[in-house]
Amino acid sequence: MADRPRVSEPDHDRRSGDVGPAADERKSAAVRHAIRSELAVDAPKDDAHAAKRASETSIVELQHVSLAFDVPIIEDISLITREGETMAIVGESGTGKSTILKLVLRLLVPDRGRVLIEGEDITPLSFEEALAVRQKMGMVFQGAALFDSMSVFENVAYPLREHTDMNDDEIEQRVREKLQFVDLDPDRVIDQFPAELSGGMRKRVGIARGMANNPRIMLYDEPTSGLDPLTTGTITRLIMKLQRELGVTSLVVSHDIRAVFRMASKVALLHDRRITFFGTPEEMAGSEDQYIQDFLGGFTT
Amino acid sequence: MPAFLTRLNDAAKSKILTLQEYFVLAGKALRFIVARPFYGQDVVQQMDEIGVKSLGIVLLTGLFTGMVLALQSSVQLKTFGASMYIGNLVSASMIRELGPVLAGLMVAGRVGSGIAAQLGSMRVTEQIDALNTLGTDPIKKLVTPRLLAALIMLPVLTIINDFVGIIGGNIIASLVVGLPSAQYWRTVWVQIASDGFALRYIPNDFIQGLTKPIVFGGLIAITACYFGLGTTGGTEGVGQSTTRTVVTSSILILIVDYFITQLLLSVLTYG
Amino acid sequence: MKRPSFITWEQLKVGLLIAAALAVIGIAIYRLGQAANLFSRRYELLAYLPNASGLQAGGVVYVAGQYAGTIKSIDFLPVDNDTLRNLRVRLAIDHALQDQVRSDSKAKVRTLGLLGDKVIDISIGTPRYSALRDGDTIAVAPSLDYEAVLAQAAGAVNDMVDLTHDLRQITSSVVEGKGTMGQLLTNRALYDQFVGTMSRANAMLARVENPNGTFARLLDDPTLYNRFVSVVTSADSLVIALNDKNGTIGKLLRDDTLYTHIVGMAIAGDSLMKTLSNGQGFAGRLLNDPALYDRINKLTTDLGAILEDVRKDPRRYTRGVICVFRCK
Repeated sequence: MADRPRVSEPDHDRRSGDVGPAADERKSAAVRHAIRSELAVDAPKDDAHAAKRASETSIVELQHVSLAFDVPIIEDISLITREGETMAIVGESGTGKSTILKLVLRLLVPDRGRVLIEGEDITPLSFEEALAVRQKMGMVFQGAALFDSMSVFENVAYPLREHTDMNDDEIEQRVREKLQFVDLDPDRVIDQFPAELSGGMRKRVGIARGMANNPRIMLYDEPTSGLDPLTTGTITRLIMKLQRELGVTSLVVSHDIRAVFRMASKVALLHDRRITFFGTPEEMAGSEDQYIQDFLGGFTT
Repeated sequence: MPAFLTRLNDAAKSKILTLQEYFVLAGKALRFIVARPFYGQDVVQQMDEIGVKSLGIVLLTGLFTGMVLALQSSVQLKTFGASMYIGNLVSASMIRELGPVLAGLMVAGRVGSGIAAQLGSMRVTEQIDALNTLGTDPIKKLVTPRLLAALIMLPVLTIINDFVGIIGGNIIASLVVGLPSAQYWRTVWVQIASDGFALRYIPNDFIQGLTKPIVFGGLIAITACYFGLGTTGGTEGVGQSTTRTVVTSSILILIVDYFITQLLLSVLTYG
Repeated sequence: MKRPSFITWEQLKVGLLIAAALAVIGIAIYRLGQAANLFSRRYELLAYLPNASGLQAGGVVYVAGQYAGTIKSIDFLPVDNDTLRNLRVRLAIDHALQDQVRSDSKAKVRTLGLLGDKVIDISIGTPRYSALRDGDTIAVAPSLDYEAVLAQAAGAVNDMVDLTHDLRQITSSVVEGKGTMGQLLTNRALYDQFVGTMSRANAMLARVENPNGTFARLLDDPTLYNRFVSVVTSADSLVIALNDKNGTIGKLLRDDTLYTHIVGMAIAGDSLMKTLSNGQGFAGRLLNDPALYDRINKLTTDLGAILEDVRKDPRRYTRGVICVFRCK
């Protein structure tokens, strides 16, 4: 817990941009304290493990990536995520956070720059090769994006049926295991259809589907948006549990700064089509930058 | 370059792009019919959706079309004293034209809109992206089964449409004109036989009557999938895609029908 | 949990629908086979035509007006001097009819149906000739083509025109009052006369019908009839009386005595006539001797003069004579 001592830093008043840096620092510390205390129920992170992983090669890396449709979406973005890390990309709505996920998934191809997954450049890949690369990743969509023509079982089993030779019994066993992991009662939900589920349950089924094929990278698009605080906490804990127990590398796109501070080991702030900050949550909270302080303040009030 | 020319240029490019995307989609969807994995379950499900669930409207359409054809032609033929030719008229019109076109229009309205709405909402709720993410080509998973199902089921529906239509003609011929059923059916077979055979055994009318629904099936499926997958703008966009699909595929059916007819009439030797 | 079993109702419904469509096609092909002898073996005949008159490959071939096969192809022959063999038509004909089509059968292009479809119709052969085999050439009968018909019709039309011309002349002269017909149609007097005649006839008929007139009596009165009957009866009895042998007329009719007498008289007369004509005897001489005639003629003339004289002056001659008788 290298970053934990920072929680005890004095409070700063970061409300409204006209106050001094000391006040900001105090405020952000209060926020971080609050965030950390929420996470107190969880087991402490294995610092050594995380540090060892982080030192290894990059899992997801963006090098000077630019993309424009009719207008530029992102310009010259570079990011690096090492194994076992949870990186959060934050920013205002409509700044192209989800675009970065789509670039990583190669649903989009950058105009310039390279995207590397486990060191492999995926930009020149063909459509079919990209499908194979995507199997390394599990994606959780904002609205869960469950196939509403399929039952929960079929949704979770889908990647298994698509990409493995598992027989029906093995698949069922795996589906139950994943549903249990996301705290759902398999017997209750397995035959239900997405339309019959609540938003939080749908999200959890989405996570179960994303991790069904045991991917090494998990991508989350706004995992906590539109959920009540309690469910938000549940989902956040789930993401952390995934990272901790299975050691997957995670990429989270969110504007929910509370949740991000709880789970992220690295934070990238996307502002005005560019990454304006990249570092740990603590570094971010400690930043003197006016925009960052405004951004953080905007979510803490 | 003047501003309006630039706009014209852009408009032309976007139309051509639309056309290109349409054919790329069609080409991919067709190619995936033979590529693995084959989503048999989806195909059967779509066949049920397109075929079985459209059976009711197709039966009604066919029956009443055949009846009204017989009724109209009985009036017209009576002036020539040729009422016994009702069977010829009904069978030729149903098999060559009305059966395929009306089945096509009905399916375009019922199934095309359904496909566009379903794929549109899948696009809007990121299910298409989810498929991509899960390593599945949405075209293979969504478009190809629908295309294949439409290619198979539209001819099936057309055959039933034709058959029911000719039966409808039979009913009117015997009730209104008093033509004996046996003679009616004899004229039906004679008409088909007299239109000649390709490769000695395949009646020209059947070639024409089955080529059309296959093409129409493809048109409906690809148009619906194209607009469905291209949906933008949330639920409102889904509605737009649905409307566009029905309008476009209906018009395409009527236009393509003309050209297929012309092509087949020049290729097939009608006796 | 419920796992989707492999056979679902959906699959069965789809299968049933497809099966129904295939069944319809199957029935249709079967009935078409019956209608068009689709599944019969065929053999090929060749026909050479000057003009296909709109025949098409795939067109229908009839044998004696019954569907028998199709036209396989129509090809142009190389240009030569034979203008009756410009096209080669290959006919595919039902094998079962091979016995009917013989070397005296004739193929003919005919127009058929409501829309004027062109077909080839083959007449049935006679047993004296052999049946045509695969690849044989069938003779072609000149088809009654429209142009020939029109050429013939043109002559008839010309005749018709002349005829109507004559007819017009007749009618025009009639209208102008020339000739009997014209007079009949145009002369008022004739009409009036006719009307007069008719009215008189009418009046006469009216009088005939008058119950008191003779004719009417004749028609109506039984007494006349009765009298007539009685007259006839009397005549009848008269005839019976005539037939009676004893009556004068009866004897005349039945007794041959009179006849014998008359015959005898006739014979006597005959001999008399002979004597007379022989110039013998006085009468004969009288008849035959011209001198006698002259003398008699002179005599009578003299006698006439004397008689004349006597008439003038009878006393000259009667003195003595009268004196003889009365001499006073």
